[in-house]
Amino acid sequence: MKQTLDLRRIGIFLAFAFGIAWAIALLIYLTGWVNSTEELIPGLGITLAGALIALGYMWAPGLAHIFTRLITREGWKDSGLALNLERWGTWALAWVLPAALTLFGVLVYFAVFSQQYDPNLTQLGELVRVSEAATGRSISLDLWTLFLVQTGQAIFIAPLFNGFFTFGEEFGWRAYLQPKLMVLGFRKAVLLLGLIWGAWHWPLTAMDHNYGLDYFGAPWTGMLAMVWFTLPVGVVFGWLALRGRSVWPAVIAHGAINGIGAVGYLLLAPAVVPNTLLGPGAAGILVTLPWTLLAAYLLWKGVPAAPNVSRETTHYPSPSKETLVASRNLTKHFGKLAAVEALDVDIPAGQVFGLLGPNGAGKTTTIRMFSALIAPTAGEAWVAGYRLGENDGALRKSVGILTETPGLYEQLSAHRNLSFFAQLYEVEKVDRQVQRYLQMLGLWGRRHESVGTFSKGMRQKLAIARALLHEPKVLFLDEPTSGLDPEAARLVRDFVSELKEEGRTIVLCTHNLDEADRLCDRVAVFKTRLLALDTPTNLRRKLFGRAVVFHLDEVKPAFSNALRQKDFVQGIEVVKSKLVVKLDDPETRNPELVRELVGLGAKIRFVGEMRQSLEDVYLQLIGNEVQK
Amino acid sequence: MKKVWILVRKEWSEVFKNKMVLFSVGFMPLLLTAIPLGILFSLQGTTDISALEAEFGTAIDQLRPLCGTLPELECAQFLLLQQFMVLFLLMPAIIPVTIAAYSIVGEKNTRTLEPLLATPITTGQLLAGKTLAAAIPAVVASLISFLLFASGTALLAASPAVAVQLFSPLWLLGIFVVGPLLSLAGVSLAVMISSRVNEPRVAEQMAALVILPVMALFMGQIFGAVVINQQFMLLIAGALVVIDVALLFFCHATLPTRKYSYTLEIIALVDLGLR
Repeated sequence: MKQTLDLRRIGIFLAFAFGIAWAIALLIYLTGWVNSTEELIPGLGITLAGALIALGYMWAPGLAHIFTRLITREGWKDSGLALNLERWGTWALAWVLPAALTLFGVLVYFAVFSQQYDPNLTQLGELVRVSEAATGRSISLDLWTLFLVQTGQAIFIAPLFNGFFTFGEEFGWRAYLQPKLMVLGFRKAVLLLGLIWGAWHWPLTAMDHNYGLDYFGAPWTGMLAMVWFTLPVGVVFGWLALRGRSVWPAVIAHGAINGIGAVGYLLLAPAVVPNTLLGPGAAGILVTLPWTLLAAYLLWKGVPAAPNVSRETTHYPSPSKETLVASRNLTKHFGKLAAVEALDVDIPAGQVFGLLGPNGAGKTTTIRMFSALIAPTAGEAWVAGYRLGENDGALRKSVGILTETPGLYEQLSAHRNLSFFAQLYEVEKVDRQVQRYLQMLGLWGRRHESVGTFSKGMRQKLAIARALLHEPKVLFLDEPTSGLDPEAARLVRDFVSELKEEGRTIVLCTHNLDEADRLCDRVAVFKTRLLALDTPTNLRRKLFGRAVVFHLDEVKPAFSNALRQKDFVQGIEVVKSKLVVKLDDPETRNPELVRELVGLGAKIRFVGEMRQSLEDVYLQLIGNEVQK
Repeated sequence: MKKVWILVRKEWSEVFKNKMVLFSVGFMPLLLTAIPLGILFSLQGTTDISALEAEFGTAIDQLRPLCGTLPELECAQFLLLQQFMVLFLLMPAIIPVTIAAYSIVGEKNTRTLEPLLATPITTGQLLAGKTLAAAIPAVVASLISFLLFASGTALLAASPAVAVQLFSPLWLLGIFVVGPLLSLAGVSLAVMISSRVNEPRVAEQMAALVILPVMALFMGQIFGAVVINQQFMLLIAGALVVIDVALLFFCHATLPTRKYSYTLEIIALVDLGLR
């Protein structure tokens, strides 16, 4: 089933974003404030129209983001505000990229219009003349001076100064709308977003025209130019937001390009270039040229899925009611590292399921995803009847988790530790339940002592008790016997056996393969991706086949030769006084083999099935994976 | 709300087992109360407001209206004491910073954050619990010390009218509104920092910066650069409401949400040796 666009939320968001912005534009236009030079705050050059545009118009999408989430009760998950400072590369890109691209465009512009270009006739030229008069020093306004002014503005001042205003826009467009459109895929999403963004800009260009800042031509051509401008720029901002896993790099980049636009007024004033479509309009298009090239490259190349930004387009059907834990294509990436890749499992109620794998195989990450502690990058999961990400509070209430380290409050007593968690899990009779588990695990006598004084085994038992207090439907145990002495490990193992007999559904992560063999109904051997999943017995059979071992007084060549003639015998091996016969169905064929051997005079002491350990299975599977 | 209080009670039973924390919550308010009272005691012989002119300069004319109908001596004592009133705004912001800064990074370090986040507690409840657990003791300690200060003033000042003047709308607004708001701002900033770092010392160092604006206010008042009057206090209260709402919003929107848990992502990265 294809995931569809969330049209309701997108509609509400667009209604707010356009509604607020265009109402403000209309107000400014109709009241004539756009032409007013009266300053709102004397001395700062801020007019009423300017303040309304900066604080109202530019912030309209950001406000729309907030309103839509509040109205539709969407919550604040994935708000795009995470700083993700570990991605310094993207931040650096956000500062440097707009500057470099736009400067390149400006240089191309100078090259094209070099005949008409006279820096002294620009508004910047006017500023220079005023500065010269004030300081008495001569300032040379050549191309390189302009270049340096532009660079300083673009790299250092604009991103921060304009960030306040651009945040309003980006918090709406890139943080809210873009993730909603990503179900269409990156290409369509950013192109559509660019068009919407351009349409939203149009009243600004119309007002700018009225304001005498006619840098893109008349209103209608301005609209076309603005849509044209926002398409490539929007693609690059969208890419930066995805790469940075947050909206901030796009805010910085947007701040930079706005600042460059402001300097552009000074550089490319109407005094120099005729006010026609081929004048400033051409400048706008030329400045956009490098952006267009980069955007085209990004669109052509396609952008890899940004980690943590779910671009899943498929919804999988829910598993049956008997299945308590299930996953489909469950994937988790940390940056470039794939921790879990496309995991598909189904764990029915009452089963003990083992997750086996080397360190770093993704076992703990899988448990964390199943417990709704971290979000998958892709795929879906269901635990205790809840789809991950839909009602995570109820999901957490239905699962118990024993984390790799016990994680107990060491200053508090055992009783206080358990009663605190029992209350958070909304256990009805807290004291009774705490007493039950403390007694069950032999800790009742030390209930008032600080956990800091407990041995490792006692802590582990207390952590298991904590995981069980609320009688969860599913129990996740991450290395329950790790680091325990043999006696404590056995106690914990016996306790898990008891839980199994009670019919609990348990997911057990362990390195102890003997433990897994004894406790688990099924096991998954796992190294980032699933290598094998079955009962331990079936895994043994699949990998090593079945074999019967005949312990004889003496092995003669005639015995093996005779048995080799049988068409159901797959192979024969002689190990000292043992004859190992490989076959599929020993239960049916054994009598025939025994008759044959006795007929040849063999003295059979003992017959048994050859049994490989789970360790053999595990090492074989992991070994194969390493070889690959 | 129930889970918030469960968390608050747990935090208190954990934090106050540490005697040093208990000392820092109790000792500083007592010290900051004792200092102005000691000065008042030493100035009991002052007879004229003109003695203060050397210290306040021309600001004395702006300050005099704050005295209301108090006679000269009482006015002088009141204006002196008022210089220290900012300390009672400072206290609720300073005291909880250490507790708040440790709140989440501490859970990370002791590996208790994961089991805690595995419970059905919501992000809002978690943040509210952590914030209130740090802010409430500080606000209560500040209010108690203010009452001690007022009682001490009633005993040591030229007349009880000086103490009554301390309960003017200006300082009632300051102590009962601005103080708790400042506390909330400091604590939520500290909690925000705490959830983004991996090292408690970094959290404490960074969160200590919270008190800089309040210190600036205190020093500004001492040196006569700032005159705290009713309008100024109202302005601060209004600004703090906006700042608090914004901080709580950012705290909630950006921090340990489980669906997109930055905090747990970091733990996972540490486990994988990637950070």
